[in-house]
Amino acid sequence: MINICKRFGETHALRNVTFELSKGEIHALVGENGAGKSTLMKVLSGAHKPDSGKIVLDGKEAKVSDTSVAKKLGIAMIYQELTLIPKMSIMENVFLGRFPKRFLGFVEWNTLERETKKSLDAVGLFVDPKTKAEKLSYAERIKVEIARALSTDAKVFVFDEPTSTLTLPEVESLFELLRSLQEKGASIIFISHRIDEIFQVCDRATVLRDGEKVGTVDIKETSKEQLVHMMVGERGKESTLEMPTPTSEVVLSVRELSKQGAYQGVSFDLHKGEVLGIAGLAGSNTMDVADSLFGLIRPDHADIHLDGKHVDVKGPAEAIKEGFALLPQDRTNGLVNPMSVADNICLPIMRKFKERLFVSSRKQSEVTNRWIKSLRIATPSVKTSVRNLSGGNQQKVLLAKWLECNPKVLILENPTRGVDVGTKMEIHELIVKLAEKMGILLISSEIPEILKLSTRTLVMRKGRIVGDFSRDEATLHKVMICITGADQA
Amino acid sequence: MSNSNMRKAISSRIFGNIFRIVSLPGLLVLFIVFFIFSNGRIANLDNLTNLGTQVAVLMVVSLGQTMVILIRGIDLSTGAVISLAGVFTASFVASYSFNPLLAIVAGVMVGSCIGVVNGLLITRLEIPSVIATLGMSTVATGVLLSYTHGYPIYNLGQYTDIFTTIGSGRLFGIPILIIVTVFVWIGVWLLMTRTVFGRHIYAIGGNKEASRLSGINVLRTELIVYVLCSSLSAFAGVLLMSRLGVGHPLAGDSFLLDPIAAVLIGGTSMAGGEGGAVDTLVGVLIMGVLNNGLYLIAIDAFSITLIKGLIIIGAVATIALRKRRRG
Repeated sequence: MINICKRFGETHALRNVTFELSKGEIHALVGENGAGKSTLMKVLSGAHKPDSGKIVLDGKEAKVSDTSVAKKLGIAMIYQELTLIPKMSIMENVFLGRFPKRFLGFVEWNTLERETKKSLDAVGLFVDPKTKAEKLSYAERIKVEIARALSTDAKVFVFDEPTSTLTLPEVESLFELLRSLQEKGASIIFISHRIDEIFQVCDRATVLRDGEKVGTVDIKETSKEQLVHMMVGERGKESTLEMPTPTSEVVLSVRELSKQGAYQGVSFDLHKGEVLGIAGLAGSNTMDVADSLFGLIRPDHADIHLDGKHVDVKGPAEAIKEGFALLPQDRTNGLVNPMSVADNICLPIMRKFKERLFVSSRKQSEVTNRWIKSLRIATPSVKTSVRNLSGGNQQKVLLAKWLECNPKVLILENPTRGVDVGTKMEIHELIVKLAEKMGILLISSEIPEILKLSTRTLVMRKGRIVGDFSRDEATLHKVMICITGADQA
Repeated sequence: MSNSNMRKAISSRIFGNIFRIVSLPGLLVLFIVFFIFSNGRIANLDNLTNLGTQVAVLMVVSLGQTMVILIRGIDLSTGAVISLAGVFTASFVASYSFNPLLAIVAGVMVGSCIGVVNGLLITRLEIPSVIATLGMSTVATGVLLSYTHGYPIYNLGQYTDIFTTIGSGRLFGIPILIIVTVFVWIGVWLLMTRTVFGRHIYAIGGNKEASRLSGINVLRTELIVYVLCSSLSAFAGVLLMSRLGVGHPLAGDSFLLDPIAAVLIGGTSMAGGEGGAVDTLVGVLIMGVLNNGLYLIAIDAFSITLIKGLIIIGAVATIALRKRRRG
């Protein structure tokens, strides 16, 4: 791929990126979220058209105008969200869209089964081809996807973070398969956030940052620190915020929070006046911990104290009563679009506005106007539907809604996702200011955001807390090394 | 606040809300058209009273259906519940000589039972409302047919007069049926717009997940909505029985689709969370004006159904287009 450029509106997703894959190598593609890895791969697979640049395959220029063209050229994509149809058998999935046909269009089931069996053997998956895809584990489904790619004579395999939800033995077995594919002459592009895995299995690595190529290195001649440095660059911590001083008062104490398949032995204390950040990559299940505190997920084991009192939260209604508030990661799960700003802010505590039988709209407006002023929510009136507000203002409405509940613990999941830069700054200032009155748990997939706002940062990897950094210790380098597991031998 | 400001505020409060009703222009156009073609007979006081009596039962059922549609459900058992409550009320009076008031309460409760089962099937077993309520509709009709063997209950005995009064009597010249319906409408309107429960209905219809995350007991609220819908249908059944003077096992049949049509024409959205009692009032009046107007200008009964159908489709299409344009 030579000089690929791609713009989405004003943002350059890719700027003159050249990417070279040799025959028979496993090549890692690394970079932070939003660095342009996925966009580059989508260009390769024909899902996106590049604005300029070209793709050269085996010395010939290839016009990949469509995903079906990419398939014909032998480029196979294996995405994180697998594309198998759960209710259909493995063999139907493998041959979907190209069933061997007989006279009048009847399917040749015998050929189908025989061919599928062959490709399954090649990937080391020994199950009946008639098994339904939904019966398989995630690791097995990845293998079915690979088998499908093999049966179409793919030469280039692209794996988009295949390991994020796999267990260790499953990862090992996947790597073995990758190596055997490599021996057969296949070329593999491997996208992963886990530095240790890249060092385990890859030959070379290309690093992208902000849509530009930083460089391609030989894994054998590079250290993990060097690779992380290439990903992160020289960016330091821009700390212009006036941080609150955590008190010694523990608001929330969590001990040994565990849930099979999600997280194990999560323990921490949250103080009043503290913004506690929890950082982790996809698959580290940081959001699940937050959801469990709010009663959305039932943990297998939990010992949670709020203000020194043992609490056992069974659902959101109880969580709110105890003093938790949760800003959900997906804003669409937080707001009732057709309802007014006032109704949305007052939703969890509608009962408080009751005068005899009826809800007092005067009281509601008073409260709402106070929040509109203090959070500077740009809305024509308290009665405007929230769907007519901008993303940033919607997020402020959501914050107001939870602040009106007077929580002891405010849990924020991706508080600034999809919010413009100006409002993002405002929300950041607000979060820091709010911490004076409560404990804040901040979970974000943007690691720089966590570092900027947190007085303390915990790092989770694969469902376990693996690092604990004070504000002074928490540099992007150190946290990234810990988060990706690069500190492990 | 100065006087003129005050007036402006009040007028914007009233008219602002009126213009929100997407179907109101349709009602006005329809009324004017029939006014012209019937030489003004449609606006005759007697005819208007008549129209009011004709739509009373539909109004009561449609209010319940409005709440159900607001939470993105649908209740296909309203027709059967109307018949059920009518027959049982009549039977309680005729065969068991209940006191009429007690008979009405008992009849409504029989209808509400269907709502309880609907609600439980939908909220606990997560059966789609279409299937659950259609099934229960069949169950209710079956109960009725085996109970009555298909025969209507004609003789209400000593209490016949009381039901005739409810169905056809007048108070200060206004049909009692209309008075009762107005009270029911005001009650439901207050419930939906002013109470915590009502706000929760809108919240759940607008975004179920957000409502759950806000600590609202979504399942309980939904269950109550289905029970309320059946209770209102049952009460409508009592009104219909009083008007007919007969407990007929198939009396409610036409009230399966008409309320849904009225609610949707009124502008309550099947996508949930938008609409309400005022919208449904307009929708019901459109249905009433249509029936009444077509009859007045003496179009034959066979064509009436066709014209009605076309106008309903036209109305719903217009609403959809207007909403799309508004974004």
